[in-house]
Amino acid sequence: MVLFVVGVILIFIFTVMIIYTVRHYCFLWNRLFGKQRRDFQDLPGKYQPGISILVPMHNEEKVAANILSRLVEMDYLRERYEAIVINDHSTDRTGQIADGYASKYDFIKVVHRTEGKNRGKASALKVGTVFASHEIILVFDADYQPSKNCVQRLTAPFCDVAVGLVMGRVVPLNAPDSFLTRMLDLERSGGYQVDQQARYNLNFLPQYGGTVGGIRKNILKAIGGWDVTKFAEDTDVTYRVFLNGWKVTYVNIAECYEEVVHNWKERRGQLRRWAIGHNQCLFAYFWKTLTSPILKFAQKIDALLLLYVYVIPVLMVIGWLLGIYVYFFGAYWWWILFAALMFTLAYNNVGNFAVFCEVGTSVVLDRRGRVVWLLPFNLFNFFANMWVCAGAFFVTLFEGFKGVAKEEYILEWEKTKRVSGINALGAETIERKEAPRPQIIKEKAVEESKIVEKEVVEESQTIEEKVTEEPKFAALDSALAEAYRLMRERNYGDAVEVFKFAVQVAEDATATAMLEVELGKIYFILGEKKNAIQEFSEASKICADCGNEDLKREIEDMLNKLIPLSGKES
Amino acid sequence: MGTIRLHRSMWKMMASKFHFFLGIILSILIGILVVFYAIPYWWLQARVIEKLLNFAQVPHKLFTLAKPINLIEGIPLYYHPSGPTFQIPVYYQSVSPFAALVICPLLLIAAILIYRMSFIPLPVKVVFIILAFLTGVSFLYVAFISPIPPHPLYRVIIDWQFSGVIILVLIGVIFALTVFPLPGSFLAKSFWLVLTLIFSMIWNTVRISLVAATFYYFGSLPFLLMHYLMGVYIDFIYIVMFYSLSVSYLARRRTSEAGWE
Repeated sequence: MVLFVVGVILIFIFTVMIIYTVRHYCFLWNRLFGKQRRDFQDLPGKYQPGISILVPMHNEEKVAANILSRLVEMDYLRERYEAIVINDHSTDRTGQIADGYASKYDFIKVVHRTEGKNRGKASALKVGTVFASHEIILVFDADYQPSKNCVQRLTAPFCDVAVGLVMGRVVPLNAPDSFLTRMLDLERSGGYQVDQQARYNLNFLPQYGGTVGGIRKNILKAIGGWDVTKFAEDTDVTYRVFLNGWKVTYVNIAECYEEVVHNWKERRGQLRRWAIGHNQCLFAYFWKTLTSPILKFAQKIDALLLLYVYVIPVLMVIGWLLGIYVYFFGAYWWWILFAALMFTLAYNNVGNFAVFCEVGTSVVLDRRGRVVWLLPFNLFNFFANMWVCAGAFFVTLFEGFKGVAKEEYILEWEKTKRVSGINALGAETIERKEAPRPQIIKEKAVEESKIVEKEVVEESQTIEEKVTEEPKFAALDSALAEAYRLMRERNYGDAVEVFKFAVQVAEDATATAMLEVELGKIYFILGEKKNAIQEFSEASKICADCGNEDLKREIEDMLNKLIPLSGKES
Repeated sequence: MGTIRLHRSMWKMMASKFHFFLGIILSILIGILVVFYAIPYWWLQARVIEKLLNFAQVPHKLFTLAKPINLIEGIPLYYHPSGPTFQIPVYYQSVSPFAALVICPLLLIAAILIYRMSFIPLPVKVVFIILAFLTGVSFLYVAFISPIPPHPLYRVIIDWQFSGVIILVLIGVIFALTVFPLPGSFLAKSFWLVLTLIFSMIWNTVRISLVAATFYYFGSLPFLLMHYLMGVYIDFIYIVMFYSLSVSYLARRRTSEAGWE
């Protein structure tokens, strides 16, 4: 009887493993043979809506200057973005460094949180969101360094009004430091280059990782904002956005560089935090995902499998223990032993291998060679993951039963220790010990209830102010989003009308000229060359005093090409 | 600190559907060869093992329990032991319950101590805990259940010979699914596949000889551990190793960006 029960449990575990194996191979083949989605990536540079970049910091003096330097160097219209540093109860020089940048650059603002017991990344983001004045919010952790065009690329998908959440790619910049950093480099490669992109290709759920991503402010508000009671506020937001019917997109080409953890102690803490947070989301969203009327069947299955990823190590530990039991006490049940042996053999080699070959393929896609030699050593990483995740599962389960988790998690920062503070792109950084504070917003929150009330009031005020002060901006953004959507659908006739409306509401000469150029291009596509020339000429006149030399050159080039063509036609 | 190329992202590589198809055919061919030539292969392997055991000075006797003519006929016979195997004089260690009850807490204390040592990397700790657990369970089994291992040696040899040919099919499948679609020369991919198959055959032969010699020289207790640890986990590691070497070779041999988007 005992052997029978053990056999049934083992068969269940094997079945789950097989499902995950099939999933991984589907992702792999999709990445190898499937059509790769790269939606909106022809837009960067053309579509640049207003964005607020939130950078929560807690004792980040080693890395603060790096990310702020990167934000200064970004390829994005300076007047269209702001960076809000949330200095959350730092006891080191983080605040001074941020203030130094804020005093030099108008677009950098610093929120100092010095009072109140409510701490943590989600809490900091919640406060930062209140001060964000733009509709699109991007989030970067302090130890991340975005590439120059990362923000442009991350923002581009938001031209589709249905997109609620965007995630970019993370690349470790300190991979050669140690054995562990190399292992994590491989893991990140597989996770982003193959897994995330394949999920996006297949219209499943690419996961927002809490950094190198963005969300629409009104959607965030509609789904209830950042949840400070969860360790994995990123997974939480991902599922709430997805379950509410918004699109979650992944931009593989939006690279951001990260300093990965250097030692196993930090790694263990990081993994434990992710696992507990993810399992919290599992308990919170399992049923909602299963019964969602919005999601398609395949989307539900993948979303559920994604929710369960941190439970798999627990199943593997149980399977391993039962395997030992069968090994010692099931010797004369030849059929069970034979089946278990063959099945384990097959799964262990083909099933477990699925994850490894995802990493291998990602390394090839990354155009790297020798690093893949380290792949067999990832088995050690696998052992460590199994151990930590199994422990984290029981912690979540136990604390969930106790019902104390919510009160405990909101109080503290759980973060990895920064070690080197490598500057990814070698640019100079600014540090001032005693800098003036021209743009500092001091937050004097005392009690949690007051903070929440204040946030709600300020948030609504901010939105009201935005509506009253910048009505045309809002209309222009919406019009552009609609126009580009129509263009993607090849509905050029309607796109012309929307662009004409956008030209009327645009206030800035450069923006008007750019819109005229877009109109000209559509006319050209429609074969109406005279209209196209007319629009380009109009753009040329408007742009004459706008000071944008690149745009001027582009318009002149277009006119030079079009006018002879038009002559031949006539 | 070494150097690292930061900009990596690429949308797509031009995977070779034709090579993927050829790889599938190759793996089917390997499967057919295994079905029809498994029995002669087992006998060839048994003769090599015989030589290795002679070299290790392990007294043995090669015998067979049944003679299936191919693998398909061998599968039903599997339930009644079949194929070439060895008879080896072995001794069964007996462990007193008292000794087991002393050793197990010691192993537990050692595991806790090692787990608390911050300078030891976490994976090493986990591997030690797994080994300590297996050792403890083996001691308890021998002390309280039986000094005779749950699986007799002749049976283990037959199991491993059987899994040794199944793994050849799996290697073919793995390469067909994961290596052959990658851009690169078909000859190179086939070379790495053949190399992995040859290594697998050699490793399986050495492994069987090693476990038999362990039983003869060290007794039943180490045999229990050897049998468990040198099974499927090791297969997995060497397959990943050859996979990584082949992928690395294919990635580095690419001299131009042709075929890449």
